[in-house]
Amino acid sequence: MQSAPLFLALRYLRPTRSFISVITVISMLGVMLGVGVLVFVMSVFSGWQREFRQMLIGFEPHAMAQPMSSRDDGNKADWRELRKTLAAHPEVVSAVPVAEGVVVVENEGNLQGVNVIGMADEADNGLLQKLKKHLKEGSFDLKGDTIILTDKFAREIGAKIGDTLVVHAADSVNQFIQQVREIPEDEEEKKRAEALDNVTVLSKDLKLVATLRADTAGQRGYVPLHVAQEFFNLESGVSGIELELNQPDAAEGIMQAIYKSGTLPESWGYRTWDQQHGMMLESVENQRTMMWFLLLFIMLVAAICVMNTTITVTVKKRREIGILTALGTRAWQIIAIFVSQAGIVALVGVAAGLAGGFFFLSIRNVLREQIAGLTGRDIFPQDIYFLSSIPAHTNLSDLLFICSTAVSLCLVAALVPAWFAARVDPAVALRDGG
Amino acid sequence: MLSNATFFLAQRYLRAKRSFVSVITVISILGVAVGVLMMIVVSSVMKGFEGEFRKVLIGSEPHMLLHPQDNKPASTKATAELLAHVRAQADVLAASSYIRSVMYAEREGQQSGMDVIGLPEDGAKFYMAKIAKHLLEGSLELSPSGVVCADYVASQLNAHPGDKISVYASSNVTSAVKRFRIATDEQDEAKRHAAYKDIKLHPQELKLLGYTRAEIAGAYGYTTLETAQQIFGFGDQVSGVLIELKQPGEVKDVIKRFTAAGIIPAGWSASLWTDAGDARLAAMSNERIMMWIVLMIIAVVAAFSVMNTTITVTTQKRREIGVLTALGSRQSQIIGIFVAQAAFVGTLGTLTGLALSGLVLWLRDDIRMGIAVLSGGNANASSEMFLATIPAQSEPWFIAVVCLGSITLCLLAALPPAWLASRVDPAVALRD
Repeated sequence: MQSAPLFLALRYLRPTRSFISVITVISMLGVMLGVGVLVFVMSVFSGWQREFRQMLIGFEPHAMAQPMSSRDDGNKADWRELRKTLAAHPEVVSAVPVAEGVVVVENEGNLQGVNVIGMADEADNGLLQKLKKHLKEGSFDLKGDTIILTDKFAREIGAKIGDTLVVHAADSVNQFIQQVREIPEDEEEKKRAEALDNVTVLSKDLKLVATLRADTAGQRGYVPLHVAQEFFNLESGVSGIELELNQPDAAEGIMQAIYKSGTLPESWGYRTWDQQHGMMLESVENQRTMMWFLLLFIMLVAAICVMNTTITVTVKKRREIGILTALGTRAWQIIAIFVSQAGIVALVGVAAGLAGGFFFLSIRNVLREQIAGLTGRDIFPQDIYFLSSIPAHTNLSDLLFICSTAVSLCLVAALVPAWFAARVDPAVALRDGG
Repeated sequence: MLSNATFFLAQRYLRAKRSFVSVITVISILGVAVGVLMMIVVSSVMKGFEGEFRKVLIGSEPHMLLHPQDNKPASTKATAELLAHVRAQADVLAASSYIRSVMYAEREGQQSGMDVIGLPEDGAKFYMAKIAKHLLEGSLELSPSGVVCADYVASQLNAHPGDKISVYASSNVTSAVKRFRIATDEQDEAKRHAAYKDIKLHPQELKLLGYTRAEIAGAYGYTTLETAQQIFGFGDQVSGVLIELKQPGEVKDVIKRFTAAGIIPAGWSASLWTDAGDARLAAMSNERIMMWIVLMIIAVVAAFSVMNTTITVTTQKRREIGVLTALGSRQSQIIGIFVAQAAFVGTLGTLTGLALSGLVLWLRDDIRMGIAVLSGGNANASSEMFLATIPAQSEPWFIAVVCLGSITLCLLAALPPAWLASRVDPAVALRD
């Protein structure tokens, strides 16, 4: 009697002369569509989210240990010591002293400001190695008086590889304007000249040695450390220690631990790559949640379809249920018949949905080309999504969630009519005939 | 009347007897309603966001700028001719000459920079009206030696309406820095000091007239044309012609018409408001269509449910169908019974979905507030902010397509089982 519910569930699924089996197949189709669409859409979303994070991790410093206040002279001396300690941390791949700030680049009468990071060209410089992947033109050389910019920025100021650009420290340009302003025009010429003699605009001729792809390497420019130190008045100090981590995804936790362990000097803090881009990461995550919510409605309607099927089957089998009850079958066994039937529908639907979802995932880029060919519109334009092909990444946890939601929704949907069916009075059911 | 018999039977089969049939009908209606609800709500909100974005661009960018290709100043004469031409066009709401360039601003040691548009009196009148809604403080009445700027520029300068700020053309700063650099390389003091003489900033004292909300009004600063000519050393020249259109949404068609009519002089080119967000707009409408396709699957699954119901009913009524056929009902009438039944389910489901989507869209901000409160978020978003409320925009044709599509899907779903049922041999049906 133990397997009787399952035996009957299977029997009721098998085609007799009636249409019942067709409606079962249709319910399966509904579940299949729901699961397939969820798998496809969520995989593409996860893939996009992953690529996006990967892209940020690929150029943004993973973490930066830095003095909290910009003018912290007390720590200038011991950054070398700190660098050694940080580099020895098991989670840290490389620790690089950097000087960060804004410079103004001049070329052919154009002045344009850009954020730069100054760092030394050393073999163990993790940030440098990582950035080399985004090299578009030229060679990565931060030894002499050189500068590396993004291709977009270079285009805007009309500079080419090999050009010598005049670069000013942004602060000193502002100070210069201030000074010139404060010296009245009508003042004696000599005085004005003397005053101007005391003004310095920190500028250097830097050779543009390489350009980076702006779409994957952010907006920053890079200069040698000694140049940046000069620009930002740091003498031999640094503005922070840049850290490349083993597990950039856990940057916040790792830095928290380092901070708590007291490795960093007092008055030093840190920032991580995901703090820098928090808003964008959050909006991508929000969209994903929204998508989950919307697509679950497909599952809901599919479950409604399963419920319909179960209702039909219970009505058809009313006499049999009456006989079973009369023979002493307990109510939970009757319920089990129909719930397990729905379970089978759900499982087959889920399996077919997974197969369909993965099939469409595997041909997603072909599909995109076909659609572009047919309608003339690219459904995944590169200038918006940064990527040339549609990404996909299937999380096991997402898959499990999709499958378990599908199955449990179907079971719940079947439970209601099954419960009603189990309450049938055998005498009434048998008397009504069928 | 046999045609009425079809509807009569369709109606009867829908009504509750002792069986579950009516329940499965109700459930099918629910499925259809959910599909319609989701399609309309999601599409309307996405369309709303898109529309909001367009509105911000149209409201903050000049609709069309005609200027020499090399961005050199244009002569007054050429501009005046062009203006006369342009103003005569039916698409043009208003047009005037303009100057656009970059300037630095300074006040008590605080510095900032901005894109500036200089407008003559007639131009200022219509253009300032466009951004008037986004004025935060002060006034937009452009007067000589006055400037209107974006809120963040004003806060960088720590300036309020009425305060004086000094401004320079960016080219002025560039050349001063360059001259100074060359001068400081000169070792000989006399020569160096002589070179200093050329280093001049030509600051203009401007009065801050007011500032606008950059989020929706754009980051431009505005001055009168004469003031801009002085700052940037344009003499009596201008950058080109600024045009506001009656139908800014059709700017691309308008520019085609202009080119065809030969209005744009040789060596001139046009900048359109769409340049600022074209890719983003295309992606938004793209995402909306994708989303619609995905949500259409809900309607498809709902149609499956309708098909299931029809199959069940036809199986249940096999004997009756046999009797009807034996009595001489035509095949089309039998099919009509079940398709009419599905049409009823489809229509009722669609109407329910339509009503619910209207309700959800109407209450959308309250719903968001409710979710925010439940999830512990901040419910007190300032009503002044961009997108503080959820935008929604429903197009009648889209709603019509969704409704008709949903009903059609239901009819198509009912057709195969109805057709199969109509082919039943009455003898067999009655014998069973």
